[in-house]
Amino acid sequence: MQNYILRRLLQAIPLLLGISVITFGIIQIMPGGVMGAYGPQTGSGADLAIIQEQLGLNRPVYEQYLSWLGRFLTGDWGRTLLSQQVVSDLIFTALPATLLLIGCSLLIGLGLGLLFGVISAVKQYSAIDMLVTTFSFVGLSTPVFFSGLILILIFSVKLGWLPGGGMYTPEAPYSFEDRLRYLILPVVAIAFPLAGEYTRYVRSSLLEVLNQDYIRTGNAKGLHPRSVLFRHALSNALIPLITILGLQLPWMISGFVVAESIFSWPGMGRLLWESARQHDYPLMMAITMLVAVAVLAFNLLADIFYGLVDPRISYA
Amino acid sequence: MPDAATAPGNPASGSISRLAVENAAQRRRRNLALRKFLRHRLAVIGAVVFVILVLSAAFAVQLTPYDPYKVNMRERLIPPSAAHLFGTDELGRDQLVRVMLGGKVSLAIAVLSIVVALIVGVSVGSIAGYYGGRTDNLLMRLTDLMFIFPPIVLAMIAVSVMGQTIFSVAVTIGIVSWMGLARLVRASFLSMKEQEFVTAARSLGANNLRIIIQHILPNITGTIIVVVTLGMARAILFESALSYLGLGIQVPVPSWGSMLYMAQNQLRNAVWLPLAPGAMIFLAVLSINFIGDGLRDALDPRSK
Repeated sequence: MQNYILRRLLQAIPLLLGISVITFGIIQIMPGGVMGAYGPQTGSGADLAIIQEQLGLNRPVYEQYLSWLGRFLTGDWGRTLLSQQVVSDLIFTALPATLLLIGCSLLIGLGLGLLFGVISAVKQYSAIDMLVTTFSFVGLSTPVFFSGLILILIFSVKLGWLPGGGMYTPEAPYSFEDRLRYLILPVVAIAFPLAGEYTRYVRSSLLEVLNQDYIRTGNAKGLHPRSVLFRHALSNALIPLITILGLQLPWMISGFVVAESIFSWPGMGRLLWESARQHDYPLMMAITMLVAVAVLAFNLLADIFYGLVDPRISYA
Repeated sequence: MPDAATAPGNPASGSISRLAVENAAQRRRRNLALRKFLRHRLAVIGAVVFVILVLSAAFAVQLTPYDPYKVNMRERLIPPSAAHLFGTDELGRDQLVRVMLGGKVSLAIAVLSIVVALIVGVSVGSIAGYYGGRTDNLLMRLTDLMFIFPPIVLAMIAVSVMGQTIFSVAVTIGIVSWMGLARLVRASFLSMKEQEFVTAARSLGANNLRIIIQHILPNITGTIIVVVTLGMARAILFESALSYLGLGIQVPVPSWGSMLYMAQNQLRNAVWLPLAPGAMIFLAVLSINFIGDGLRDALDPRSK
């Protein structure tokens, strides 16, 4: 097991390097390159030349990359090009907000997905299964920005019950209730499609397991149906779900970027979006690398977990 | 030629009749798949809705009396009425014709991006699976690399490099969505390349390219079609997300995502404005997902 983890960690290094090279390379070929961040109103040619000199843009590309890499690894992630803010400060202020949003949405999405997936698998082809299936399709076909806009329209613009954007009331002291009010709409908008997707996965995975011999054995020897379902079937049906969760993480990030931009949530997604619009490459590189590390780590954890719960898999 | 012994009169008749038998078998399989698809009620509804969407996108200008591009400031932000079923936007343009036309861009991008994903994914998957060894290793590491690259990040950077045209957005979406297909195709090749029919083809002198294209790939078209259909739904969602973030097609050409993006600025003056484009995206994605589900029931040998 230790060897396996070590091997996976070693494999992650070239992957991360590859990602950094690709991102760095694409930024170089952006129109205007790194200097594209500075609009025409920034200053005269001489000013721009000074900036170029300061950023080290006169050196060959590979030298620039290596110096970026060296600084990145030692924790110096640079400053944003336009506002000259420290990148790591920006990121670590935004990170908790994003983690809060991701955590709540995943929790609710997974919870609903489990509940409805189990119901519709157990009652396969019943009216309730049809209803759940239709709803899960509706869920996974609803773009986050559409459900987000509708939610804002109804609960914020029309009814005025909940705030339509932001994370807390400005200048108000922290209170749990206040945070909750701001969380509800974005979490619902994100969790709805997630719940739809997980319902589909739980249903089909559980149906596959329910057809197997050991479930028939369990039923035949008179185990309580609930014990067969939850202890024997569900625990096995959920294992593949963990892997799917890991594989989907990169795609889920798109949803969070969109959601944070609709709800003006001060998180990483918004930061990434702004950095891409402003061609702010130190910020863009740092966020890309962080996200890649997170995705890799999550997938590694999923695989380790998979090995722990499924004795058929050995990582010798 | 072994057939010559069984069909002495005409040396070719043996292979002709064998061809006829094969065709009949193929036709039967296809009919069965079609029947299975038609039994899937939601899939049929999805197909009908999708065809309507395609037709309305193709004939938007002929079907409605309004010019989708003509600015008319006197008629801006009119709520839905008999004259303008979906109202007008902030420049006084009829929302209905623009929503219909918006389908053109969104669907074109979806199809184009899927073609890109199909070409890259199937090539990478079949080469990796068929040849194995170092080629496989290299290609699969590349796939892994792309897999952990968050698509939205790659797309944001790529679109700002290549510009915001239909083609560049489509290629970008294609580039971020081929990996699942590649893995799937590779897995099928791994399990199939050692089977008798491949050995038989090879011993008859078929070269590698011919074995890949004519002998192995046809066996997995069903699975590929299902994946591609569902991929199209995702492509539409992804395109509209990009447009929504201001990274999609440039503004005068309506796409569902960019219309929604413009509409949110008018949320307080014109509540109805985001509803139509949002509903169209939702309808398109939902109908394609239903079609995909029906196709899976009809074509995927593993499903019952």
